[in-house]
Amino acid sequence: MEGAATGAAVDAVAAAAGGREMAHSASDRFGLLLRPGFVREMRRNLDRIEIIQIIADDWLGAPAPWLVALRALAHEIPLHVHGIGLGLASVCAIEQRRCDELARLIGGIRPDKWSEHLAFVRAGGIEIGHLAAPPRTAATIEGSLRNIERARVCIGAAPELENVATLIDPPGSELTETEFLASILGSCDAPMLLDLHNLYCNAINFGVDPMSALCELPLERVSTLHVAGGRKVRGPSGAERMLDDHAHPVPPEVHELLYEFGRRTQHPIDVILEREARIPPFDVLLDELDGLRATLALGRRDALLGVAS
Amino acid sequence: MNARELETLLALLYTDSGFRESFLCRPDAIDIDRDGLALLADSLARTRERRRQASGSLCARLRQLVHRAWLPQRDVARVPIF
Repeated sequence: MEGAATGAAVDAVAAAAGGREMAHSASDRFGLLLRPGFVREMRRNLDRIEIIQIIADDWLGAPAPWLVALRALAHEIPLHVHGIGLGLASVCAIEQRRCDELARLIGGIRPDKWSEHLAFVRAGGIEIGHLAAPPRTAATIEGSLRNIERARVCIGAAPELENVATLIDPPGSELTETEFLASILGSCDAPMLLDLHNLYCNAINFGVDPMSALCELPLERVSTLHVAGGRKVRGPSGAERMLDDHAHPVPPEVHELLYEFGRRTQHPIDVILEREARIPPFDVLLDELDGLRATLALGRRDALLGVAS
Repeated sequence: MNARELETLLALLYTDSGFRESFLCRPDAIDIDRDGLALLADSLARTRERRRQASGSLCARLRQLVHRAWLPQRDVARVPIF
């Protein structure tokens, strides 16, 4: 599907249907990542926001009043707790202390869902400080499965598993990214959190067709989608990479992936817009959410009508 | 090099610019003990023997990637939400 055509179609459908009122699946939910200053605006716009995501690690050890307030918020609107610090995709075991802290947080606020990345974040006593893509090997898959099970036992539910963006193709990898993801998902019962912008960035960075990558994944296992924007960065040698910086609007290419996801699936899905820097006025974010609703709905409608992509 | 050691090596490459510089430009200058790779004894011996070849191979793959990689960090600073 051509980007311009998608954009025009999205605009037309959104305009005709008034954006959020259009007939997306009744169970689809759209929401935002909670950021400082968002709560008041979110409460004012609960007719346009159906879910909220928090970063778990921001709340571990938070003062009790904050947790009380967070639990109150969770009573008003479904909450996703999103972890970034466990390091599931590793041959090393996740740290029990971190898992216990996460379990206490989740037990305290009772979110709708929780999720973690298929990344490693520490090794050999070194805290990497970001979500590093692991070598895609059989050993990493086995380690990941052990860690997912540890997390499930500790927390009481398996996490949604998110694909990560990377600027570096992990050395030593024996599998493609989609083979790696599909293998893990095929060996456990955890659902997938598919980050469409991460998938797009990796595809661009390593010469893969993003739509083909999408179609290679077990989309029926996806229960939540992340969408975001990023920018191109250029290294000293001149080569470009797509950086998932969460600081830009969702690009048309990610709308195309969302459209195709809608065309290929019919099950209810949560869609979370992650914007963490250069945050625009709240109305702009709400409009962007409406655009995402329209794109997903368009894909689902076209599937029902038998429209080929 | 086993999987655990590879993760440690990658962690060093991601986080230690001095190590990264040495690894990419002068792989033979790396002191595996000093740089805390924590290799198992037999792996250490094997790695010492094969370091030139293995490092050269890995360098070839990483040279165009790591040195220009800007590694974003999630903002995990705890800031008041409410």
